[in-house]
Amino acid sequence: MSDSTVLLATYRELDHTADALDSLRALGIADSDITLMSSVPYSHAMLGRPAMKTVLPVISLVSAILGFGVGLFYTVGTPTLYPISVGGQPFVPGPPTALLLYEFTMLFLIVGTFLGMMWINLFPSYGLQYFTKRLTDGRIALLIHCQADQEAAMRAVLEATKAEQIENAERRPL
Amino acid sequence: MAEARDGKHRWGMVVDLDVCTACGACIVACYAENNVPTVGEQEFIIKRALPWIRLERYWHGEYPHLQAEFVPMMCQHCQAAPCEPVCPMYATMHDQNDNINLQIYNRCAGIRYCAVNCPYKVRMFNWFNPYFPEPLNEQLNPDVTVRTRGIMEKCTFCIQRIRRARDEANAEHVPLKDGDVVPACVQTCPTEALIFGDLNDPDSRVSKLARSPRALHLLEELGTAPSVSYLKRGGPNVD
Amino acid sequence: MSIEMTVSHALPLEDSHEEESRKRHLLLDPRPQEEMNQMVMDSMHRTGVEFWIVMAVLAVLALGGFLGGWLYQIRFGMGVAGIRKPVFWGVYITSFVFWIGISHSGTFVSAILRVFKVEWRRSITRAAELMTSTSLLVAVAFLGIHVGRTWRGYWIVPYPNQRTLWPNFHSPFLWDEMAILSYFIGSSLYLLLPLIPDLAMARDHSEGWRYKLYRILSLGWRGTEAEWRNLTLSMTVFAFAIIPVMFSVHTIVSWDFAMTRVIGWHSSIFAPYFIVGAIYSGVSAVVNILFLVRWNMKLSYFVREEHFEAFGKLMLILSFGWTYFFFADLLTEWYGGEAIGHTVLDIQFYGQMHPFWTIMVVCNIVIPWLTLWNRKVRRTPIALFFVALAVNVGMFMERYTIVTGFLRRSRLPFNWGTYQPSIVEVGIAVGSVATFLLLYGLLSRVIPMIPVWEVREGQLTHVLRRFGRTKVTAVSEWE
Repeated sequence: MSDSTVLLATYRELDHTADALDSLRALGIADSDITLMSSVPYSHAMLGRPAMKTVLPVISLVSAILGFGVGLFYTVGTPTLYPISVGGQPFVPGPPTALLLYEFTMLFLIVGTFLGMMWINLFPSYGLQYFTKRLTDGRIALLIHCQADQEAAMRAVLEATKAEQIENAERRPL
Repeated sequence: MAEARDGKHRWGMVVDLDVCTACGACIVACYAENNVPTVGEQEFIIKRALPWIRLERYWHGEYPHLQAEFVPMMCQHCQAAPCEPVCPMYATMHDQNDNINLQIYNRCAGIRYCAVNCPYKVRMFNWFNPYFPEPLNEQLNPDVTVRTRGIMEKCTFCIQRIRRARDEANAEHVPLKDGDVVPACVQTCPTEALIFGDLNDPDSRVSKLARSPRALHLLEELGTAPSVSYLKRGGPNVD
Repeated sequence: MSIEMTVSHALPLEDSHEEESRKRHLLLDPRPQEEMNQMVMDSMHRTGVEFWIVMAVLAVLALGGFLGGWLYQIRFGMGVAGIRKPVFWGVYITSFVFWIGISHSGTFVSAILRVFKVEWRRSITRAAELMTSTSLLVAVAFLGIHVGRTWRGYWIVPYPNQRTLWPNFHSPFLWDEMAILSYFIGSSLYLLLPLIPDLAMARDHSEGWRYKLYRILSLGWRGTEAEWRNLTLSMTVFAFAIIPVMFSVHTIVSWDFAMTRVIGWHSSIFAPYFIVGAIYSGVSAVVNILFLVRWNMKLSYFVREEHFEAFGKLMLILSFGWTYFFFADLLTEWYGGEAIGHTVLDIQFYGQMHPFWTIMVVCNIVIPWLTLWNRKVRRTPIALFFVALAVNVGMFMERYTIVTGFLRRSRLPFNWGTYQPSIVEVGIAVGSVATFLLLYGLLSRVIPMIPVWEVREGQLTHVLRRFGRTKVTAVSEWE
C-alpha cells in the first residue's frame, strides 16, 4: 500500500498530453493505471487510448423491451381483465393500442438509458475523489497510479512533456 | 308479450313529430324526476341550462306565413356512441344488458370531451353547484343522485325506473312486459308523442313504430346508430 | 517596387477578413475556457434591483392571475369561465395546446440540430431546453385548470385502485398523458444530461449555498473518459429517441381534436399541421427568450447576430410550411361544398371569428414574409424579437380559432352558439405567461445558461484554413 503512489498532472494542450501518454506507456505503465479527465470530450483515438466498451446500448434495449411489456399490460391486459364497452369499439382497439405501445416503449427507453448511464458512471458519487478544481477551466488531467520507486521517472516524463502542474494526488471532497 | 331475446334488452324511444304539440310537459317532468337544477335567467341566456330533454324549434317561411317545427331532443343512446370512447375515466360507457349509454357521475372529472364529441349536443355540464330554491329542495327524487358542479349529465332513459321495474319483475318471477317501464317524459306526454319500450322485443309497441315507413334517425349518416327514432310529420296540411 | 505593392496589399486584406470572421462567428472566436466559464458564472450573479422588481411583478401576476384565478374557479365552479354549450372547450385548451407548441422549441434546437450536426446550435441548446421543461409545466397545469373536478384529475393515472377501474386507453386524453409524460421526462433528462459537466464547472467556481447545490446536482462528475463516453453515448440515444417522441406529442395533441366528429376538427391533416405549427411557434419563442437572455444576462459573446440570422431563416421556412398546411386544410373544407363546411368557414372569414382569423393570417404569414427575407432584419436581434412575438400571437390566435371557432357551428343549427372568454380566463392566460417567465427567470440564475463545454468543443473543431487567396472555415468531426 505504501509502495504505490498517485500522481495528478494537468495539461493545457492535447498534443502534450498525447506525448505524455506515449512516454508513460513506454515506461511500462498500463493503460488501466492511467485515468484521463478532461473538460471537453476527446475521443480515445486522439489520445491513443484503448476504446472503451460500454454496456449502455444493452441497457437501452432491455429498457425498451420492458416498456413494450408494460404497454402490453396496460393496453391489452387491463381491458381484458376489466372489459368495459365503449363506442362500439372492440375492447382492445387496434390503432390506439399500437400508439400506446410505441409511447411506453419510448418512455422506458429514455428513462432506462438515463438510469443506465447513472449506474455505469456510479452516479451520484459524493465521496472523496481524486480531482482538481482547475480541470473544468480547460485542462486535461492525468491520474497515474504507479509504484513509489517509479515516481521520479514519472515526474521527469511529465515535466518533459510540459505538464502545467504535477502533484501527489489526494482524495478530496468534490 | 314475448320475452326479450337473450334476456337482454335494448331500450329505445319513438318520437311522433306529428302528434307532438310542443307543450313542454316532458321537460318539466324530466326536471322533477331526475333532480335537474334550474340555472336562472342569465345562465339560461348563455346556453348553460341543463334540460335533459329539450324542444328544438325551427322556423319555416317568412312572416306572416311562419311555421314552427318542434323536435324533442334527448340523448339518442347511440349503439356506437361517439361520447363513450373519449372519456378517460370510463364515466360514460355502454351498458351491455340494457344497451343504453350510461353516465356514471362518480367517475366524471368534468373534462367535457364527451360533450364536444356528441353530434346532437345532448350532454349537459354542471357549471355551478345546483341550487334548488325552496320548496323545490323538498321534492327531490331519492332514487336519483343530485349532481355537484363539474359533472356531466344527460338523459338516462330514466334508468332508475328501468331498474325498479326489473327489480319488481324479478321479485314476482315474471318477465318484463311492454309498458312496465315508463320514463317520466313518456308518462307525462299528454298526446302520447313519446313511446318507450324494448327494441329487442319485436312485438313491443316501440319496435312496431320504429319499423314504420315514417321512421327516421337523426344524423344517420354519422353511423352512431341511435336508439331514438323520429316519425316524420304528415303532409303540408297538418299544422 | 511591384513586390512591395503585392506584399502590402495581401496582408491587410487577409487580416481584416479573418478579424471579421472572428467577430461574427462565435466558434471562430475562441477564448480561454476559464474566461468563458467566468462569463457564464457572472451572468448567473446578475441579480440587481431591476431583476428583482421584474420578478416581483411577474410573481404578482402569476400568483394573482394564474394561481388566484384557478383557486377562484375551483371554489366557485367552472361557470366563472366563459365556456358554455356548445363551446365546451375554450381558452384553457387553447393555452394548453399553445404551451405544448412552445415546448417543441428545446427539442428542435437540441435534438434535431444536434442530429444534423448544425454547429451554430452549440451555445443556445441550454436556453431552448430550459424553455421546453418550463413550458411543459405550464401546459400540464392548464389541463388541470380545464378539468371540471380538478381534485379528481389524478384518476387519469393508471394505478391499481379500490375503484377497480383502469383508465380508458381508447381516449385521446390517455394518449396525451403518456405522450406528454414521455416528452416531459425525456426533455428534462435531456436538459440534465449535457448540464452535468456545466454543473460540475459551476461547482468548481462557487461557494456557499451555490456550491452545496451544484455539488449535489453535478452527481460527482469529474470528466473521466468513461464518464464522457457514457454521457455522449446517452446524449446520442436521447437525441435520436426524443425526436420521434416530440413528433408524437403534438400529433397526439392534435388527435384530441381530430378524433372527434366536430366539423373542421375531424381532419387527418391535423397531425402534420400541428407539428409544423408547434415547431414554428417554438422556434419563435426561442428567439424571444434568446433576446431576453442575451440582453439581460450580458451574454452577447455567446449569442450573436449569426444565431438570430439562422433562426430568422428557420422561421421563414417554417412560415412557408405552416402556410402550406393551413391552406391545404382550408381548401379541402371549402371545395367540398358541404353546407356545414361552408358555415364553419364563413364564421372564420366573415363572422364571429373574423378578427382573430385576420390577426392570425397577418402575424403568421404577412409579417414574416415581408420581413424575414431581408438579411439585415434577420441580423438585428430587436427586429427579430418583434417578428417572433408577432408569430407567437398569431399562433395563439390559430389555436383559438381552431378550438373555439369550430365548436360554435355544428350539424344541427339549433345548437349553434358563441363564446366570450371571461375575466377569469384572461387572467389565467396572462398569469400563465407571467408564471413561465418567472420560473424561467429564477432558473436562469441557478442553471448555467450556456453549455461552455459544447462551445469549447465547437471552437476546437473550427479553424480558419487557407483556401486559395482567402481563408475559409473548416470544421473537423470528432466522432
